[in-house]
Amino acid sequence: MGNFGALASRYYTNARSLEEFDEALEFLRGRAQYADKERTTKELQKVLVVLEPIKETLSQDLSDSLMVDDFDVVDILRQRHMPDWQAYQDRMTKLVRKLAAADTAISPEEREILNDVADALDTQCIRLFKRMSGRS
Amino acid sequence: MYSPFQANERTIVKEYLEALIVEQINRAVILKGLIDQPLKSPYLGQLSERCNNILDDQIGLLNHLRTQLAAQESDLRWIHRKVRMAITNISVVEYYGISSLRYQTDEVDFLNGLVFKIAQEISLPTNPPSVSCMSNNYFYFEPITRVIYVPQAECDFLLHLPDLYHEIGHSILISSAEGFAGPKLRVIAKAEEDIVSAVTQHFRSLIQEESRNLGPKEIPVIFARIHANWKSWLNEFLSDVFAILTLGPAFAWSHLHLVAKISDNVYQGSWLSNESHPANEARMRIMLHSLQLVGFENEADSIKTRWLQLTKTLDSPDAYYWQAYPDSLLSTIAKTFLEALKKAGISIVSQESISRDKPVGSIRTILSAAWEAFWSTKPEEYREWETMQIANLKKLIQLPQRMSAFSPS
Repeated sequence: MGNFGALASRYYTNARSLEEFDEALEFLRGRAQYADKERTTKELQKVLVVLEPIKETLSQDLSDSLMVDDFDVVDILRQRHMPDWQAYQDRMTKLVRKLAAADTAISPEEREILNDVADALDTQCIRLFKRMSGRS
Repeated sequence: MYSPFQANERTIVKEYLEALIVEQINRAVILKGLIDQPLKSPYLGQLSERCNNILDDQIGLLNHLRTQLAAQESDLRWIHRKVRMAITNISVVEYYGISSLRYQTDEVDFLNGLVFKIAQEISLPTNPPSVSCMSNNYFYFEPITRVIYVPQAECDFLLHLPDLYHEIGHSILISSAEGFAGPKLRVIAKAEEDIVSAVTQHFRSLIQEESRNLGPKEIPVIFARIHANWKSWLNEFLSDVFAILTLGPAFAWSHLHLVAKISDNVYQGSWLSNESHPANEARMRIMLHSLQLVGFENEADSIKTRWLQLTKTLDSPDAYYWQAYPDSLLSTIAKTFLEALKKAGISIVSQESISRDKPVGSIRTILSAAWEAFWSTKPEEYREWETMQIANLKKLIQLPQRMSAFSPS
């Protein structure tokens, strides 16, 4: 009946997705990606596991993914980018399309969007963790 | 490189992050020292190893981040996030792992033995979770350390022990979602994917229907929020179904008993908030569906009668309730999960498997008999019976079981 178990499961899943997303960001920042195409594809997939459900939520669709709390993550992003939310959404959608097409030439501005998403997911993880400990 | 920090800010942030990293490495090392003690129970060896591995991973990660920090073009946002993640993982081990290892009592030994025996009985295709009796909030499962938390006095009562099956259900769902899950667990993961697709399809249809009806704009938003909550609820529903399909009616009785004791609303408090648990009424309905699937129709009827008597004076559902928890969806979930558990080789409960004619020693027989005794005897007589059963159960679980579990075959 307590909420702990449900929150802990959600925390665990979101935290694992964030860990993989960040691992992929580290790889995509390096030069190794140009040599290892197979690994690049694998790492891109880890990024898309987080970005695709967010893109679906942004386009008012429902996502099937259990890997990320897309609805809450989008809420956090919306709060943080409120003044130019529509333009921000467009940039994000464009970036997801680009990565889905395996284009890994990520500009510094696009890297900041990826960091924004990861920070929002990190916030969701911290919120879940605090709720698990009864601190919210 | 583009950076949200000015050059002088970068230096200050870097220095602070380095101090934070060193502090956390020291904390992890101290915690490792707390694990290094002789184990009283062989069942806790797995937990001890898991805690050590998590801490080693975090120390390795923090050292790697310290190296990254020194690089000219380091991504400070990325490093800060990774440090926070390491801190949380270290905290989880401290709060939900080491405390369990430092508190090794006879009760802990008994409960770990009990879960081990349950896992054998139901052919659980993964290592059973560890158990700690330090819960301050009924039963729950922590997925990183893989510990089930149980209230202190629970091992002297039988009526809520069925909840162990629900928590084992949580543990198998977590194991099945791992990248290295074996074929039996992958069947369970696939079923979960199919079920979430069915849930999404249901809510897509509701939203489309609302859009066609040109109703208030808020309604699709409410359905989207309910769908988002279902991602959390699904885990609870599947753990409920798992408990029913492996133990039988005793778990539904335990749920009814708990609702009678502490539920504040058997339907739903709010649709727009982030609710971690599904409504108790819907949970009971999926349990009844599951019971009917494995031949417990009469028991399902008896539980339903008691449930309606209990809940009719408590609350009533609002306008969205039946759309949020349609009977057809709950039934589909139960059927899909039953097929997956069968394919995974899990021993599904039957009338025969919990029959009192079975030889003494089956945990599910004892827990089922407890509920029969509870309903058919006077309270004092029941307690006398329960005390005797617990004593027998403790004899059954103690050393011989542990020795056989760990001796080479």
